[in-house]
Amino acid sequence: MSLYLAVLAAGIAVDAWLLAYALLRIRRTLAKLTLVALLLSFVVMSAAFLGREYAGLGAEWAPVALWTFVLSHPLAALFILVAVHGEALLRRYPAVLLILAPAPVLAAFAPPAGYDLARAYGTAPLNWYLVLCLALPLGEAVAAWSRSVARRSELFLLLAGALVLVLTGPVYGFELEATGLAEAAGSNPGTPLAAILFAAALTLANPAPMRRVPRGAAWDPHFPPGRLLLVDEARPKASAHYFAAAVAGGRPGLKLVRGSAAPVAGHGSLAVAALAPVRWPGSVVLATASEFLARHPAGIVFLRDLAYLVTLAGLPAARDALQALRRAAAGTAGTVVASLALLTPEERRDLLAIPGAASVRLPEPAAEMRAILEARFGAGAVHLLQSFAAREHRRLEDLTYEDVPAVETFLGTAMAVLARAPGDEPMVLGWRKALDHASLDLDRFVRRTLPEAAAGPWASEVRRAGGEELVVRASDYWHGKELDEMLHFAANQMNRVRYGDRVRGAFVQVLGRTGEHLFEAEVRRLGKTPADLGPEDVRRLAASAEAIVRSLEAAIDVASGRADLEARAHRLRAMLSGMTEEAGRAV
Amino acid sequence: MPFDSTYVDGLDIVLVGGLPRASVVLVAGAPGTMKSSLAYAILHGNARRGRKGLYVSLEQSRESLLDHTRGLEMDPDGTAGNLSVLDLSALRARMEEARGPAWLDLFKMYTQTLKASFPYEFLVIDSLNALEILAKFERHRREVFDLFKWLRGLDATCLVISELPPDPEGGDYRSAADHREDYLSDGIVHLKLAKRGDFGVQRQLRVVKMRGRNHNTDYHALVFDGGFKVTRILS
Repeated sequence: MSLYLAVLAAGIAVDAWLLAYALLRIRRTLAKLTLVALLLSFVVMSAAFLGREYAGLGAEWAPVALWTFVLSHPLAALFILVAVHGEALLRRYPAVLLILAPAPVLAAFAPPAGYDLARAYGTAPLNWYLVLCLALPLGEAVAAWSRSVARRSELFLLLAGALVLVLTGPVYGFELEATGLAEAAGSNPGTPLAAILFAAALTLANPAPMRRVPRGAAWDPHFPPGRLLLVDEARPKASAHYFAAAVAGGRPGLKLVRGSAAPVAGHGSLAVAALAPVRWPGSVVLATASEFLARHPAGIVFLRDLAYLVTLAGLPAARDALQALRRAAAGTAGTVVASLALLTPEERRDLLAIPGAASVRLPEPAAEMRAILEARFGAGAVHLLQSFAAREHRRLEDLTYEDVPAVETFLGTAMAVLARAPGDEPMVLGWRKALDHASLDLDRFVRRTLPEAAAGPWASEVRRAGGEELVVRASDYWHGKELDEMLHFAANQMNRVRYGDRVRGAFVQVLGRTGEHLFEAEVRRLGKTPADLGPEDVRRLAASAEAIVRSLEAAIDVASGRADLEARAHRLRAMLSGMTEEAGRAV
Repeated sequence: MPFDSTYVDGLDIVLVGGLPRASVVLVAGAPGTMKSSLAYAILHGNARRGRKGLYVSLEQSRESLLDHTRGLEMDPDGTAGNLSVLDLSALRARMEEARGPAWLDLFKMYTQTLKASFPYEFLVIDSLNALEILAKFERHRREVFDLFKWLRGLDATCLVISELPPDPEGGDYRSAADHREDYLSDGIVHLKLAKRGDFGVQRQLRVVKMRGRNHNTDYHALVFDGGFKVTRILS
């Protein structure tokens, strides 16, 4: 018996260590609590058994050993069911808690009924209950494992743990009784192995770290409650915009984005979780979203980078994870929003076919802004928008809802430039009216709710449906002036200011305040002001900057000092040549 | 307070130990009193002993300065690269249009850049008058105060050469200087040419001011004989 004694003692140590580990490391609240309760019952059960059999504990410990032995079975069932079905299990099926009910009754009436720890698996109806407690989760685990694609590995570990408990519990107990070694029955030597498998399953599918957010508002006008909403869009801009609006309104929101595992960011009622390239991404996404929805049943989970999940886990696993998320959100006020951006048309079709999922198609804000401006200013408006994007060091297609106020300000400035250009009063008045209309359209576009945006019509589609582009549009003319040409002029004027500022910035960045003086001197040498600098002047300034830094180097006779200035010259050259290339494109 | 030796024979005795480290000392004198040579000699003496020094010339070109100092047996080759001459006079043509604050900023950029790559412990500015003209000091006292404050931040012992008008009578410092920088600097070394008899002229040196030192305030003879020497004046 000494080997059996050692196995049980080692088991207690392993169970106790895993208990501490689960408390500290596992982030799924309900699964963690049930696992901790299960491990605690394992520890007490094994310790009481060892104490009674080998350390001479009195008969008063017999009910403790029997009670914890019995209790460990429904706790194991509860843990496995929670781990398999997620945090939504108790909300959706609270009756599952009834599995715990017979345990105290049976334990309390055990001695009068003649129940004995050594023959627990052999005495009816106690043994029916114990076997049921293990058979039920085992069956659930087998069923879930056979169905799931996203969580196959995680469920396999849970299934294996349940199987171990059955083999080293009832099966082993019956064998001991059959071989006449009944005194060894009443314990389960397989608990540490099962506990290791359970802890491994929870660890590998541990939710991504996320900050705790306030409970917040329970409703917003954008997203339907209790649904999985698939957003069909070119880039995840519109979905992000409406998600941000919902969170700004106080609704608790979790944004799942691609990234490293480390950051736990967010603000207000927004939590951000990063999906790292882990082994089981489907399990992690599901666990993270389920945990958030369990904490905030009225919350909203936004999968911005669903395409990343598809890349990591494959389309079938991503689809399976979305289906599980739909089930997790069902019956709550919560919403799961997934952006289909960057997926192929086939992948979109496949995911949009998920039963029970709602879907909307949302416009691309950059295309809409362009279409709105073109409708008011003609084809030349794109030059202004390009000029704005370049000024912000971004691409035209990167513009989004948040840029609209800045675009409106930019247009206002451009119009002011145009107003200074030669022209008559009615023409300037016409531009101002066009600008007012365009601003109104842009505001209207931004203020649309999600259902309104989904319903359309979109400016880009209206324009496309308008048929063939006219060679000459009436709106392109105003009192004999072609508006395109004037917008070109305005964009160039705006760029000139930009070039002056940027070249000055490069000089100052490299040479400090001296750079500013040198820049001013060089611009004076060109006979211009910084505001007059055009693309062609950037090249000339780049050439003279080279000569300036050379002459600065000549003043120094220390090699290290010259090297330092040489490095600065290199930086200045690189910055100015970047601008020169840009200027070349602009010209 | 730590001191930096000048390695000029007799001068450390007059200064009671040397120049206070990281101080700003004016070397003032009329043309021909060997202000530049004396300042260069202090740099050269320290550079030969491994301490780095930077000589900023705003008027004289590097070639001219080095020719001059070689003639005084202070060969820069003997300093193992510890003495550098920053020739800002070469930039005057290019920067002519950028007069004003640009020059002060340029000077600061150079000295700061070199401090990082060539960590000098001594700095000579030749001369303050040239810098004032180039940088177009308007509120003179305020701007010199800011400059000296900035120089102290360099953590280098600074010798700032200040031109005084020629004084045929060889009067003392009070009569020659306009007292604009007196209160701002940590020390003042005055050089003058004093008449000796009907035909002779003697270079003389006097430590007018040196903060925190009970230095000798008498005029001393500044003699060059294969190297500078500061001796008592024999009547």
